[in-house]
Amino acid sequence: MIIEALMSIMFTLQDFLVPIALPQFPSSVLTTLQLGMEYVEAGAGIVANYVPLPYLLTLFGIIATVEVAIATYNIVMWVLKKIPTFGIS
Amino acid sequence: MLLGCFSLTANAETIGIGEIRLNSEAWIDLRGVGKQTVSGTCYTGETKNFNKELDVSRFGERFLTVHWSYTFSYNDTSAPLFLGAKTYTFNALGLHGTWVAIPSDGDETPLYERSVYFSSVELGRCFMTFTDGTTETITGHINYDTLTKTASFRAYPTPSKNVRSITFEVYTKNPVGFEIAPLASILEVGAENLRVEITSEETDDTDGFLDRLITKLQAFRQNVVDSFNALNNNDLSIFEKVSLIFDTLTNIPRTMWSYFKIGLQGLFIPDEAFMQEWVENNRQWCTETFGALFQSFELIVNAYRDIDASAETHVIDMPLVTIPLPDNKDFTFGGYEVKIVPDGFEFLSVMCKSVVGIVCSFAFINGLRRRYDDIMEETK
Repeated sequence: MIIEALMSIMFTLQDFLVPIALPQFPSSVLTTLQLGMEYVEAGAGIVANYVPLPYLLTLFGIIATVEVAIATYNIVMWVLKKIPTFGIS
Repeated sequence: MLLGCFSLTANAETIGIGEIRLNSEAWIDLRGVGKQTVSGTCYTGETKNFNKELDVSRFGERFLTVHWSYTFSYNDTSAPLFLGAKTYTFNALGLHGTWVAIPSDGDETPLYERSVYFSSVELGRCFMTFTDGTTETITGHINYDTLTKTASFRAYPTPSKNVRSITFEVYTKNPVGFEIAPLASILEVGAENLRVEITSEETDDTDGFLDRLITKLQAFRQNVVDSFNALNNNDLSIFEKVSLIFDTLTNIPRTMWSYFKIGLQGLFIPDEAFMQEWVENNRQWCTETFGALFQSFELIVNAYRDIDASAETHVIDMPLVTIPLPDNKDFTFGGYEVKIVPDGFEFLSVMCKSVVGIVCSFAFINGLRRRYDDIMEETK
């Protein structure tokens, strides 16, 4: 009862704090997309039987994290090099 | 007795028709709101056996009548004694559908009737295969080892132009949540109104919470009475009598604690029906708030979930393929399941996954090493 009340309050708050409504797909487009995804699922389902998808997704996540870290480092260093006080060349 | 709630979603708007009570009906007027995608969930809050019926969607000048029924049978003897707990296990599911075509000139004599056996039934989807204009009857049942309460299915019917009404009927012996997604496809034709009706035929083989509680308390009382009666049995030794007294005395707080625990859990652990509704409300809110962004995200997540499930079960779902034919006839290949890995050869899948995983690990490490070397070269 207590948790349920808190969860209800959370739902009401988020409804109040986020007063936006982005456009949705038209139903015909959504139906087509769902049908298309079913074909994708069928094809990828075959691959997933022989390829460890969760493991590959984990590796992909690590690679993405490393690349984002490198890009962030380069951007920060580029900004710091513009400030003569730091003397970074 | 309140059986559940029903809500309809039309694009970004939610057209609620409120609570539907037992043996009642509700109408929703869809005229003037254009083509709609209508979906909804009907659920119950009590353990009751009943039949549900969803009936009649009318669109334009045409009616297409579809009698669609499914039946759950289950053993509920292991269900816990919690109010609202719904951990049912269905041991069988039967699906049987009937299409009845009625001409649009007012003559109620059916053009043809046919029963459709849902050849590929699964959680979340149900396809039917039929050819138009012929009488065809196929019946059968599909058995599942287990089905959870959240079992639901959708159909993708292809309305024909020479039929003018549709009736969607659902029969179940369980308080099972279900979707009326078939109406989504049908009502896109241009619905005028929709009647939702739930009727109940209660049976007495499943008791409600209070009935169960009373039964439990009566059984407990009988145990205590039996225990004290046993104390008068002179055949028992003094040690057996003392043991009996201890058992009886220790059972009292244990039993009382179990009932107190139920109440305490109710304070902190959300009810399953509430959680289900809360999650559904959040999903609906995200859809209305983030629109196409969330819909795309949901599509991808659902696809990944299905792909992962097919990797676990080694079964993929071949999707529905519809070929439009002349004279308003469609030929539909129903979706069906294909077992990718034969029984007894699951080790092949594991071996392939292991080899691919090892190769990918080496490639990953090598890629990281080369990236590290590149960065070191740049910083020199």
